Amino acid sequence: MTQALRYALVVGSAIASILLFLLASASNNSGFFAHNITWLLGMEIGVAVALLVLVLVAFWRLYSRYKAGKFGSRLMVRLMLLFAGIGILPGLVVFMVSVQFVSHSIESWFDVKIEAALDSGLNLSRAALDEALADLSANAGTVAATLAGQGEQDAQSILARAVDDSNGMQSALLLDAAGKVVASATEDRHAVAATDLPTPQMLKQAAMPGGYARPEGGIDDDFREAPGEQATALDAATGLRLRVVVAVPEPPGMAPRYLQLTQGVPVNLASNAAVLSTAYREYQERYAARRGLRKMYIGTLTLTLLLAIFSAIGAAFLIAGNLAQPLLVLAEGTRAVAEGDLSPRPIVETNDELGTLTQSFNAMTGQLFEARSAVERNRAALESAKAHLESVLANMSAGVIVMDADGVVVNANDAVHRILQVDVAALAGRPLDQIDGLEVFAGAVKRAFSAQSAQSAAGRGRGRLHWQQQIEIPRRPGTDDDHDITLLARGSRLPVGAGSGFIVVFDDISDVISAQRSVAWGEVARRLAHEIKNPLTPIQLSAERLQMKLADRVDEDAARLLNKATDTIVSQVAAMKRMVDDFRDYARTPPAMLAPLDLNDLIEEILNLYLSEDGSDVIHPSLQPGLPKVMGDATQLRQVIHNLLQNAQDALADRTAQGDPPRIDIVTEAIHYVGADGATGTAVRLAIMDNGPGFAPKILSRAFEPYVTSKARGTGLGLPMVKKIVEEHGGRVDVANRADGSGASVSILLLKLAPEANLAEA
Amino acid sequence: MLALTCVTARAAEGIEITRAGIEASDDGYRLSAAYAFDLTPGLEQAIQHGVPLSFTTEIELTRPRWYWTDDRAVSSRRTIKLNYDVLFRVYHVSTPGSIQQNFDTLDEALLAIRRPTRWLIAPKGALKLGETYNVTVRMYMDREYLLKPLQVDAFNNSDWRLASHKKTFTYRAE
Repeated sequence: MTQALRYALVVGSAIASILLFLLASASNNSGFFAHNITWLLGMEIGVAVALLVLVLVAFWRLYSRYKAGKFGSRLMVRLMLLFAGIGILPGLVVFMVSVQFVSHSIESWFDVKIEAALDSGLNLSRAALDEALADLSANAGTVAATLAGQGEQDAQSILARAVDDSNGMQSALLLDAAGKVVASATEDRHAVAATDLPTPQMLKQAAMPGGYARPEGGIDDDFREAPGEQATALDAATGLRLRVVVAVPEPPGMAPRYLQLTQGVPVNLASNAAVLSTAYREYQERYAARRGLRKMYIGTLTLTLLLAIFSAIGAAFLIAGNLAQPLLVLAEGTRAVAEGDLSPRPIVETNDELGTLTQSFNAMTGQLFEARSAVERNRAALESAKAHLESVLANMSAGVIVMDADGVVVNANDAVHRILQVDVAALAGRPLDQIDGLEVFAGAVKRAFSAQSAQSAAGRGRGRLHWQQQIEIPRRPGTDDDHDITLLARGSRLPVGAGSGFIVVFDDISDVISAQRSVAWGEVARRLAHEIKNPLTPIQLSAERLQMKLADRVDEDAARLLNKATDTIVSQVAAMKRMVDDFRDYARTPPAMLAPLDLNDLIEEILNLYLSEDGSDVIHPSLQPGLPKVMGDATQLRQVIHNLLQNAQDALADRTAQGDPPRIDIVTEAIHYVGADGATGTAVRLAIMDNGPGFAPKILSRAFEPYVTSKARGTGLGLPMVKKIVEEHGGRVDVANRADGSGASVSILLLKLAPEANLAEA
Repeated sequence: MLALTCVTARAAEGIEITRAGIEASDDGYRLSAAYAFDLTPGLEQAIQHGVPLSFTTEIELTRPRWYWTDDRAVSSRRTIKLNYDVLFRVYHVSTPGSIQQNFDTLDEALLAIRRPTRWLIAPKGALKLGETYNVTVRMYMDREYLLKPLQVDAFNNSDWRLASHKKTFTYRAE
């Protein structure tokens, strides 16, 4: 029920009550409202109709809600019918009884006996009056007979005697035909009898047989409105009098004369008759009005009943609504909770159990909300921890593969893809040994786990939960790299889900192996150089001595052979010496003497040796000005640049492509990077690029190992030398083929900058 | 609302205005009218049992004005009372402004009401000479003077309703 409907019902009931009160007051037959009873009735009916409409609207709303099966409407209907019944039934009973009572009691007031009594009383009064009138008429006849033919003086005395003789006679007048007083006598000597003359109609009637005989007065004051008709003293005394006018039986020939006698009705008779006639009239009035009275009472009662019923229904709506509202709030709340909305419900402001119920309901939802948000928080924490773990795993350089007890891949990180060139993570759910390209790896892993199980079963290796093994796997066919990958793998068992599982962590240690190889080579080279160099000088000297001593003693042919052989020996020894020196140099590079150095200056100085400045140069420097100074050993760096330029030139000599002219680029630039500690740093990069054939794939991965070369001549120590020097400078060197496949690119990153470089610039 | 419908229903019952006209006299304008009606059995019984009845005549003279609402020059009413003295068996008819008349029979008394004396409705000068007025006359048994229960009864009892339609005619003031 909307608020507007509520207020309308309340206001309507209030107006109805006021109007009912006014109507009840109006029944008192007096006052202002008595005159406006019709308007009051009309308004009352109007209000009743309005209330009826309101109640109907409320019913209709309730019915449609009930039909729609809206929650709470059944309860509302029950409560409403209950309260309405409680309100209406007693009202109906009172109404019935009252209607019966009113209709019967009103009828009982108007009794036949009372009416008959009043009629009889009235007749009695009339009879008394008639008798008095008859007496007076007889008296008048007698007086008139004596007056006949008498003169004015006689008439006067006769009249006076008649007044004196008669008891109660007020006046006696003798009038001529024109109505003029001929003689008069009054009981009260001072009264002026002339004021009470008969009218011409009376005289006319008096001329007829029987004369005029009529009681007069006793007229309601309401009707005494005509001006000039003053109440006489006699009227005031009794209110009733008898008047008789008769014609005097004159002897023939005389003008007609009239006698008027007036007599007061005895006071008690007059007053009683007046009371009786008033009572009779009022009784008759009421009798005629009895139906109206009943209509009025029943109408008022009916209106009261209707208003009471409508008000009761309206109140029932209000009360039912108020009672049902907390329940609806609770129901709404439970539905909201079921849908996951745990926001607090509006609290019903009562002190009774319903209010307590809603409060405890809110407390319950509050606790639910707390619990759920705690769960949410925990879940979020878990998720973030998991995400953290996953990101750690994903960004780990080591490959991680998780398998279940049957060897089926559960999970793998990105590093696996990078190292093995197989996207194992995408193939999760398949057994490891059924993944293409991983057969060797899978076999090795399986064997390792079997061996560990066997060891555990044998009781050895107890306490070691993991195995560690180096696995060599061939590169996948079809890739451009065809040398084996060396992996260092660790495996351990772990619980995954209900059963146990396996986890394999492995690292590509090809680089480590390569580095180890370099170190081993260095050592070998140093020893070999030492061992080989020692006998070389005696060999050379011996050969020269043989030539010198024997040259003169042998014949010409022999001498020629000797010279040729010794020359060969000497030259080969020299070559061997040179080779050994190279080995020694590689193995024994002197420690770098680091000093502030401008790389651009160094490069320009070196390029002077290569450039002819005639436009046909293949070397194109592109040096960034203002390069920060680096810490470096000028001699060693010069050798690095020489080596790289030599390599590039050799590569250009090998090129077969006819297209572009040969070209070598030397580029220097400053690089800004973010260090592991978050601070920004600056490095200097030197890149030398050519457009020759580039590195063969087999060479590329092992370019920095000694004795790996693509050249017919050469020791294969050039790039290893470069790497060694650069690493001593705390830099990084990187070789790659250019992205477009035309030529090679070597890039050197020097991270150690001169500490005073900035100061010098400042 | 109900009262209004009663008023309109009431106007249709019983009294016919047979003649109505305005006469200019020395002291003012007078309504000369005659009515034709018979008392309903209920009313006749009531009057013979001494219940007084009142008959009211309403008259209204309006002059239409094109620029404003109509000018109500005269609006007047006169109530004639009929009463029966049960003790003396006399009918009294009292008209305001004239002497109470007594009649022995009801017919004589009703005749006095049906053909009332000319009624001074407006003094001289109340009307503008030469102007044409719309005259509305209505005559009815006035229930205001009845007992309240009788008034209520008259709502839906045709025995207690006696009224004329509104009679309208024009009068040119002289």
